[in-house]
Amino acid sequence: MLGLEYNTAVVLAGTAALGLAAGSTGSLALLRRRALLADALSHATLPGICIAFMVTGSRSFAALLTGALITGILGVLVVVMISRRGKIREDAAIGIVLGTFFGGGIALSGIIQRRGADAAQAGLDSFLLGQTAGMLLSDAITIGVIALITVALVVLLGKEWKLICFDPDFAGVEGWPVRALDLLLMLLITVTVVIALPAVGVVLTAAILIIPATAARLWVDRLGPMLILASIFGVLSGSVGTVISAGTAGLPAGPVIVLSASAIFVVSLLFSPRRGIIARARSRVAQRRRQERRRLLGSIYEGIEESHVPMIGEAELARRRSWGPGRMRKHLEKASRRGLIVWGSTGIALTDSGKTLAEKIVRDERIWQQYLLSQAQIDRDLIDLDAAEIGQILPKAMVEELEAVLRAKGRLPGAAAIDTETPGGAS
Amino acid sequence: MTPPKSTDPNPPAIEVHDLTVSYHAKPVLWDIDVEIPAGKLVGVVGPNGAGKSTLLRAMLGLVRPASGWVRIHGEPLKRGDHGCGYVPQRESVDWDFPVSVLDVVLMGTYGRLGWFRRPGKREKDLAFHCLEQVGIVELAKRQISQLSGGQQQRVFLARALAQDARVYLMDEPFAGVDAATEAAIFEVLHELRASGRTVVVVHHDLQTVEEYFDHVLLLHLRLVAAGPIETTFTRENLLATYGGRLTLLDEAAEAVRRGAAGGPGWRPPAAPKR
Amino acid sequence: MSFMGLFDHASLPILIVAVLAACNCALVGSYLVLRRMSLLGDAISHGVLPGLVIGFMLAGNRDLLPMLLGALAAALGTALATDFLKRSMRIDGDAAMGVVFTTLFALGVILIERYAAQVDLDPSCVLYGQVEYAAIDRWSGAIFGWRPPRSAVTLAIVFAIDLGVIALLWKEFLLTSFDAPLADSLGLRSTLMHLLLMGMTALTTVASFEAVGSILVVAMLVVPGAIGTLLSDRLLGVILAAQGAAILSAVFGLWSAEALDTSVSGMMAVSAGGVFAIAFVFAPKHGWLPHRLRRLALSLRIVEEDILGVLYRKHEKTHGTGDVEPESGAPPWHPAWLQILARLRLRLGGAVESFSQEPALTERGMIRGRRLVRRHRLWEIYLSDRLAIPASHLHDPAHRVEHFLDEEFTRRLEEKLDRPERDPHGREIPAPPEGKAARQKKRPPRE
Repeated sequence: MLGLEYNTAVVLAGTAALGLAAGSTGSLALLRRRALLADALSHATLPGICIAFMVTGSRSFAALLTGALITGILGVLVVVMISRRGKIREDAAIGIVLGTFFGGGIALSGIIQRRGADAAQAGLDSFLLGQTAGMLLSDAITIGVIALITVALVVLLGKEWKLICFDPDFAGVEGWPVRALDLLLMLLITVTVVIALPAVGVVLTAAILIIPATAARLWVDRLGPMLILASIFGVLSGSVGTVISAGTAGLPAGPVIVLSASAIFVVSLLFSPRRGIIARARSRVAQRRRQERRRLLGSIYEGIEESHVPMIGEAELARRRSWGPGRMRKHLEKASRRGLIVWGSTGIALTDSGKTLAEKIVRDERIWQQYLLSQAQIDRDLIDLDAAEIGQILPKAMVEELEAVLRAKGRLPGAAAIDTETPGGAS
Repeated sequence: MTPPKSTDPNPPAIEVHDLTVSYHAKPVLWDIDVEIPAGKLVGVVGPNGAGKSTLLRAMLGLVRPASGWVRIHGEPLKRGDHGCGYVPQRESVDWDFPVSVLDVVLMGTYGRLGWFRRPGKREKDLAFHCLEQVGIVELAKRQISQLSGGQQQRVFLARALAQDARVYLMDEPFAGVDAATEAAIFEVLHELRASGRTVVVVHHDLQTVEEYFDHVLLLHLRLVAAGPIETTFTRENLLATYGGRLTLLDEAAEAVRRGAAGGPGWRPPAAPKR
Repeated sequence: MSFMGLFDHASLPILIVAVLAACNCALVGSYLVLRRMSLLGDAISHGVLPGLVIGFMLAGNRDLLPMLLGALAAALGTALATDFLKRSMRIDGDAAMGVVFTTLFALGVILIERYAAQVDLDPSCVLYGQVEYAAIDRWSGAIFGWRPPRSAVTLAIVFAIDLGVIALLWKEFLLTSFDAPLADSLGLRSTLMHLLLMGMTALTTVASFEAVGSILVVAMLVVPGAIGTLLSDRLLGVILAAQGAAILSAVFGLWSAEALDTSVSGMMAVSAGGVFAIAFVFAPKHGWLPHRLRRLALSLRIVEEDILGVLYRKHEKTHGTGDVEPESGAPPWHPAWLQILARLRLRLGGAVESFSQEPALTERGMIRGRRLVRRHRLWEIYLSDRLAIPASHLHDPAHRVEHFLDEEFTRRLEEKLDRPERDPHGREIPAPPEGKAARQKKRPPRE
């Protein structure tokens, strides 16, 4: 493996498997709104680790992680118990458990330290902020295997968990054991948190569940792809973090892994094709341009319609559209380059293709206005979708009815003057 | 409470017996006793806070009643026999959830699929057919956050159709939808009735009750009246449902809540066995 | 170490710092808990770390001001970034918060590990708190010849600021915590108050981190406030109870930490958790145990009343003048232990004459039984008349409600129903106990 030591390669594989599990489990945790419960959970594992060390006297992963699992589950149960009584809300309950359990862990580690168990103390310290360098081969294998089992479970029960995350009531009506599935998911989250502890550390483990999943959600709109992408992001941040932290002395692995994930998140935030900041800014600009182009043609058409002269002066157009001269010039240039208008010194006229387009634009606008006037009961959400294509939104019969009303008023473009020539279909 | 086994060889679609539901020890439905015949379109009508949705949720087994029982086609309410199709209120789910329209409709087939199995071609064909029935087959690949309110409602309806149930329970499917969707839903309801299904719909618009339903349940904390539209949807019954606040009933409910002050889950020890 | 040892010359400065930090956090924390912003407190206390470290690095010393400015900037960044992700990018609120504060915290840790070690900033002190060291570092000034710890002075100033802001804006905070839209309509800027509270949280976090560490600040922010809400239903009560809880946690935390020879901040958090547990179980109104006891008392009352009801109806059957058989009353369906307890209480309370299976009613028991049956039958009439519930369905609902209707309600019920004589089954409505003189002749002879 590219000159990596065998040992390092295995540790790397272990953290990569961990990222895989954290990405997929984290996605489900996020969708079930358990993201911050995972934070309380990871902090609550610290006393368990310390107690396990005090009892067994060893820093074998198996013992410490068992301790972590026990107090972690206990922490979650306490959150549930406190918030179920109603007086204390879940967010406060999370804060209480997080703070109290973590404080207990710090106090216990202090006791261990005073007992003079210095070498072991170093091992416990690594659990706070994560350490991959000291990880034994067998530990990495254990973590990797558990992570792969976790992923297998997500694959196996994906359909069931999708259902209870989206609509638990419906799942209940359909006869799925919602509570049992929920419990299993919580257990899965707990196990993932616990195996992430050695590498990422108690303080930041929740991040490795939350960040890759949130980043993945920015790119895709389906659960399956989200799980896959979140897993890839998890693997990436896990392995990059491990490599950087191993190569730099005194740098704990946890924060480095988390910052790698954050970097992926920031990139996603900027460059995701649909939800990204850049893509959205660009689409906003494009939409505004298109809107302005439509308004330009519409205004020319309406000006001509009112004056009955097949030409409109620049001043008149400027009056109709309150644009500055520079902006107006730019739009006019573009339209004349596209062959939609003839822009002469006397004024602006529409070409044939320009006229057809302008008629359609004005007609659509007026049908919309008429529709809004006539319909009390409208599906307002529809209007926002894409105002351009009426035929796709309103039933054909309704469009024809509206057209008839406009025609009667003599306001239907292309039909008012010459009745024989009706504009081509709505769609 | 488990209901007794029905002895009727041809039982009604839904039987509700002595149903009382309390939230935090405060009764919100008092002693409902009603039978809904099979193959009808049934509207559940009543003022805000009359317990319409609660009745529906109790029929589905989603809330535990303080007393009484429900039988669907003579069978006690069992989780998981796929006897009920359910259309919840639109607001009850997160519409930003990463699934497509087709995914949501496919959820209606999960019950029959059972554990671990994924929906295959047969399920997908069924889902497309259901989407066609509600008139949005072209939206199948869309992400659900890009739907209008009416379209969301149609997706839920299509999912219920995919459940292929004998009894359908719908919570305000007509609330806040556009005219086109309303017409589409209405048509689907009629198709369901034509194929012998029973449909119970919580409805808020009194204007359309007579046009839409065969049967009506008038509800205001207790059952005011139930039966065929012609005999039940009368001015007198409507006045009894909407007119005059039942101050003493409300006060008694409040007194129970205050007296019990047991917080969630408390129920009085007095649950007489018969 | 003895408890009084806390107040000796060496420990007193530590105690002062610990108590001040705890009270500071509890003051702001009460509002955070009440406004359901507990997790924002968590996020801000984590998120300020990089700002704090950068401020420290730039200044090169432990001066409060640069660290404070850095921390305030980071706190504001945390809040704004979370809000941006939530509003503009439509990311779920919890997830947005999780992404922002873990990222900032990770950044802060790396900054400390890489750079701050070169200057005088101990990572474990910043993260987990070292109140012992904080107490050693004395202020340059002196009060009555005594030089208090520098962080105690800082904490006292910040406490005074927080207290001043809260006192000055008491009603604004009250209203914006309770009903933000109403406050907005009254011209109180709820957003401004929100920002102000976040600023105070950041300030308090920075002032307290030396004592309790930037992670355990969460415990001191949230736990006392939560204890306050368990103990009181009024804002001032919540705040005072939280202060009490904070002092208790600090004192007990310091004492136990010295006894166990371990981290003070850790033991402070644990003590706070312990106080919370006690409040959770024993708080008079919202605690678990009083709640259980109230439930038990209520169940007992219901069973007692049911027994009296059965006995009264039995009596009615043997002595009554009515021509209709009284309803069977309530069969003894309650758990046996509750029944024994109830019968014992009835006997001790002088409502029945013996502790047998079917004792005779005393006059007092007769009155209570009559009241119950009266309520039962009146409610049946109401259900039958007003709600048109069929006769066969009246008994159960009346049975559920009869224990909760008071005399005043029953009187109004009777008036509303035009003082009926008989229930839907034709049974007599017993007269109210006050009117028993009128029906004196029906009073049973003593057996």
